[in-house]
Amino acid sequence: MISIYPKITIVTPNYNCAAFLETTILSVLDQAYPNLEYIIIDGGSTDGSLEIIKKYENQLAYWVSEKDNGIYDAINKGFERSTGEIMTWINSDDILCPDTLAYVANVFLNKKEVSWIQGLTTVINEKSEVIFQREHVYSEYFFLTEFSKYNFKTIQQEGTFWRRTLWEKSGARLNTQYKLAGDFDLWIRFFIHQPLYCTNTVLGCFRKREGQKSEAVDLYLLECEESLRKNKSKFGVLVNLKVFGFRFFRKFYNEFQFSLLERVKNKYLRLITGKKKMV
Amino acid sequence: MNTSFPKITIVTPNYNCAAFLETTIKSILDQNYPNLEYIIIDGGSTDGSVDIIRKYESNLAYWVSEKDNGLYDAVNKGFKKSSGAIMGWINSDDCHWPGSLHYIAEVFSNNEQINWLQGLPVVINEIGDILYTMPHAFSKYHFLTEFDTVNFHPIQQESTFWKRSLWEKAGNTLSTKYTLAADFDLWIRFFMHSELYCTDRELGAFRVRAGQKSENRTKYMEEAEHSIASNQSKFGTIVRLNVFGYKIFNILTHFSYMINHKLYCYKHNYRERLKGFKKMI
Repeated sequence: MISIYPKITIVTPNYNCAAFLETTILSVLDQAYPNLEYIIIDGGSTDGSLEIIKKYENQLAYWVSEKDNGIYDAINKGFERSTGEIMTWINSDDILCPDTLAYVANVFLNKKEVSWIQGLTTVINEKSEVIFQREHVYSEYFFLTEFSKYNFKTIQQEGTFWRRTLWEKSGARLNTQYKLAGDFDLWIRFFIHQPLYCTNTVLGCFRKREGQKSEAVDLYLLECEESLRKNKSKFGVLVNLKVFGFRFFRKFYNEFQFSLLERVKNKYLRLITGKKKMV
Repeated sequence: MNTSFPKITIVTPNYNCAAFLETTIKSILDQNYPNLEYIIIDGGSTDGSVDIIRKYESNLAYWVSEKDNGLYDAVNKGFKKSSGAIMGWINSDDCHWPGSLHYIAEVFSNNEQINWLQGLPVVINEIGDILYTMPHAFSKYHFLTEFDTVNFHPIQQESTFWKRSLWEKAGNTLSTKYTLAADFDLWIRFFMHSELYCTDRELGAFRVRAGQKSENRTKYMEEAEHSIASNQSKFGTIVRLNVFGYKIFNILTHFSYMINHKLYCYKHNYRERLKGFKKMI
């Protein structure tokens, strides 16, 4: 049993997402975690979100509804108000799984080496049915060497928790220059300081629905590349050398695959074979 | 149009293949070529083939039904009896394309330089539908260098015709020591004397059917390999030098692929080591 409950901060940014907001709020509050700091930052919704928030007002540490500069600005505002030892945010259409908070508190209490933890990646649909689960992406080398349009996998933000110490080391804010890949940028900055731990327990679920922001994979990828480029130099010489070595191997290998020798051989065969004599 | 029709010799060897024999005979006789010498050599069939041959007896230059030493022995016997300027044989389950004899006559009489000619290789099934056509194999280098690769495809015998002068230069006989690849052996000997010409017109078609002799591809390839090995020395120095050069290149590329493979393995091990181990809870 847990004797001391560490304070967990959860921020939910919301803007006109009343359809799923209540599910999200309930998925957090129903866990009845005794030392929870739940903050909701609304971007001035006009679709009835406010009524839902007001319904649960007495269980929230803080809430506000005012115009902001996008989702990551809202989350930053929330985290600035927070004091919890363990932190995460959950968007207003995604959910946390039952007993997640107790599990996470247990892990962070008992395992000092863990600074951030990733649950099993799980995607649900609008009816909250599981569509698919996939393997963790757990290494910064994946992002530095193989991350591309054809191999698109990221760390799922729903179900990733981190300590406040790591958050402060990494700059204590999300980069608001990114419209979509603010989370990706944060993971890259986390990787600079600490390795990522994984668990096969499902902690949070990403909800796939029509017309959502994260549908624009191309734009997301562009922002990811920008973030990688900016942060690459901070990874230290050893990591960069390894990445360079890997890239060198890949380039060398690809060049070698259809080597000069093969080309000369084929040319030679064509030369001695001559042309077909047609009638 | 050419006015004189050169004499064309077609030989059909047959042994117990009554089901397709009539189609074959009709595919040749229905062309109404005026100067045709059509010879059928039967190996002593017992399935009614002889009755079919008798039906067309009046159109044949020669026919016989007696025991022989296999397909190529029968073809040899037929060619010995023949006198045509242009020659070809057609097995009793394959067939000619309509109008092919007139086309061949025209090509051979208008182009002095052509000694042998290959049509578009067509493969048909038992009811006569076209299954597929193949690209021409047109160069001796194809046989000498790419013989043991997946690119290899033989010259289709059903659609190949040649002049008697070339036939006589090349030894005047099919080698009966091969039971399947004697045609291949003949092409190799033809290549020593003359270039092969190709046409995109269909001249003959090979019929694929269950239980036919040429199903045994391994045996065919073994015999073809033997033929290449025994005839290679008869090609001139330049040809042999070229083949030797190509083989050197082949060995070098093989080594480069080996190095490449080692690199590939190393790259993947390297990637695994980069990733490290997943830290699981």
